[in-house]
Amino acid sequence: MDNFPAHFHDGQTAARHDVAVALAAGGLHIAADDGRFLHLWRYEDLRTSERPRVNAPLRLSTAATPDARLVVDSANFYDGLRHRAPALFARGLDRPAVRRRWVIGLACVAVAAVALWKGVPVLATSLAPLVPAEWVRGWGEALSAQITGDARQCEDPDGLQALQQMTDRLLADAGSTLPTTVVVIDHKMANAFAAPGGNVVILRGLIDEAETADEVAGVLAHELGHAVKRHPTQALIRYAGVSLLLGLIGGDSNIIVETVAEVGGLALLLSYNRDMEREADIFAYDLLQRTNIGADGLISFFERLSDETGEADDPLSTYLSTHPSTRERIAALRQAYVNLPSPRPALDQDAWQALRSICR
Amino acid sequence: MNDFSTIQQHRGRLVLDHRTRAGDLWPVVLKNAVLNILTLWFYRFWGRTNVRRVLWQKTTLNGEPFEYTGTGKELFIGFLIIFFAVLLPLVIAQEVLAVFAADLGITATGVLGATFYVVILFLIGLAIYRARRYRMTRTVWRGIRGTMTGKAGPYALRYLGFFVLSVVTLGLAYPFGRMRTFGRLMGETGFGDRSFDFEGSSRPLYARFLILWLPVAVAMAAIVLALNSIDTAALENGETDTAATDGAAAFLAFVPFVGVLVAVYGTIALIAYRVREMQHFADCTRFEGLRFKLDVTGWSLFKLLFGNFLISLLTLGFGLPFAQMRLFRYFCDRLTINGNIDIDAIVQSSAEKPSFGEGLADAFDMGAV
Repeated sequence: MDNFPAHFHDGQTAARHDVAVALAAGGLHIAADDGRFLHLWRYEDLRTSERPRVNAPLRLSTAATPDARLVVDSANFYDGLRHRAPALFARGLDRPAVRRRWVIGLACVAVAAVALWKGVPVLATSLAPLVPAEWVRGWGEALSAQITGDARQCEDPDGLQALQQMTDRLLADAGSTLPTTVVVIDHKMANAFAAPGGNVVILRGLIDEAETADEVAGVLAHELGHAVKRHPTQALIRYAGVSLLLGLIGGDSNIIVETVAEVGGLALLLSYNRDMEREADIFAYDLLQRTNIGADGLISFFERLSDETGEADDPLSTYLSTHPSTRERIAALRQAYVNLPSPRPALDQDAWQALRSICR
Repeated sequence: MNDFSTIQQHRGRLVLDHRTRAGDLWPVVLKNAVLNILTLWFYRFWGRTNVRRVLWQKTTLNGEPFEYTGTGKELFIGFLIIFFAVLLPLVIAQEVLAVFAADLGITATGVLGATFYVVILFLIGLAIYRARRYRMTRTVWRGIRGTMTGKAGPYALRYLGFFVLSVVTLGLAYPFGRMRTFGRLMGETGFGDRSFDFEGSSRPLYARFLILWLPVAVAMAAIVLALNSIDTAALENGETDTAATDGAAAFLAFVPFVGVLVAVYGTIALIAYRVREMQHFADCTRFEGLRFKLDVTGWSLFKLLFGNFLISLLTLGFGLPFAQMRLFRYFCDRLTINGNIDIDAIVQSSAEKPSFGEGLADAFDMGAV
């Protein structure tokens, strides 16, 4: 049996011992300088922390004493060990442990991706109704204050009465479980939004822009859809969920990763947003039909909006937008459209004029 | 115990060497890049481990290499624990505070905000210590593990305390704080059953520190005074021709220019200070009978740091291992170890290794390697 000179560290002190190693039948026979037997390391117990290379010293340890190290620097020893302990030289995907790890790892990534795509909206939809109204209300008030800034609430008594009339009519059939209030803010932007907590804010500019009370009722019905379905709370949960999952996956490693993750997360959130907008449109259509107002106002409002803004309809613009394209929304409404035999306008002429001057 | 070997006394020099070349790292860098992209950076813990294995293995002490025995799984579990137990609650607390800030009023919000910062600082201190402990216990030389002989909590308190002291003294206590925190960390770093010692005063650091601090402090004070002397009430009333306002306005016109000057001077002076600090820290460090000397210069340090910055930038972060390699090589080339030590008498530490690694440090994105 050939004896190879080697260095041995017993893992108990930092001393380096000169030893002789032989490739025995069952394992490595380690003997001291004077020939005295020290250890037998069985081939199946051998471990190495780095890929064995033919012209570099082999650093071996054994499962029983993982701190001990045997260092052998010999090409012949390398060849000999190769035949007797082939498992030691298998690296990477040759080893079943590594293959298993890869399968688990890729499965985790797949699960995370699916969770991100599908799980987040599902979670949001089911959790949102469970969030207590008081929490959401406080947040909603803070948010509304942020958006409307210093603009005041419009309080003309006749206008308020007209607004209440329209609101009551819609709320009667809305199936809302939250107390919902509608206010008009004196701001020139033509917009309306549903704040978390069940409050709807209409900006004066929208009323100025509308040509009939039915148009305002249509927009109000849409916003009530957001409120009733708790979309704002859902949006918060979705945002939290996406951030959480992206944080887990991406971590904080790389500037590119962060950017890609943010962009990806944003795209995902925008698509969720568009889904919620479609849902609110459907709700609005149903509500308008049930309350006998009809969807004509809503459709004509969208059509005017589409003409005026000259909205880009290409897929990329739609992809980057928080709302589905107006054209798509009009098409969806038209497709569902069923003529009402005798619709009643949302407000009579006097009430409509009063609403128009609510901010006087 | 040692009846079959002679006890070696190392006299003179111990040589720490680092021999990685770019060629050694390319396979790892490429593999990490591909796998990171494929797994949406899930792989990063294993990637980091791959890099450390190469860097450690190519570092030798008297020709014998170090080993890194950490695993990606340990880093991953460490990350998960910190993410759910620390990061998530912190983020939620921050959001909740932001939402309810109006309700709570200014004092309460201020107090809670300050508490928040204190907690973060404490966590940073914890992160530094724990990351160090993880790396030390996963470093093996001649079969013997590195150790940290203390606990993270006291160190974090110390870290927080000296940070606050620095702030309160407008930065003057910084070198003093550095000596105390670095010293504690170094003094509790060990190998086997022995540990490093760190002893010294911060006085030698103050010369260079004041060269940095004084001009910057004076410039800041001048700007603040100028801003204050502009009587805003007078301006609103239309009185713009007081001499003080004119002078201040003229001075403030120069502020961007002054700012650039201060930044350039500050960078140079900071590097000069760091050089002195590193040399002094090495002088104050001992291990058994060994003394250390770090031979760094401002220009070489600047080239190292700037080069690493460029590497990270130009490779969009993927080339970080090359920057780490340069860092290792820089220190190994410039470190001299002299003295007597009975290496063979060093015994394996019986302390338990921590089970998982570094989640906090990962979360705060710290640690050069």
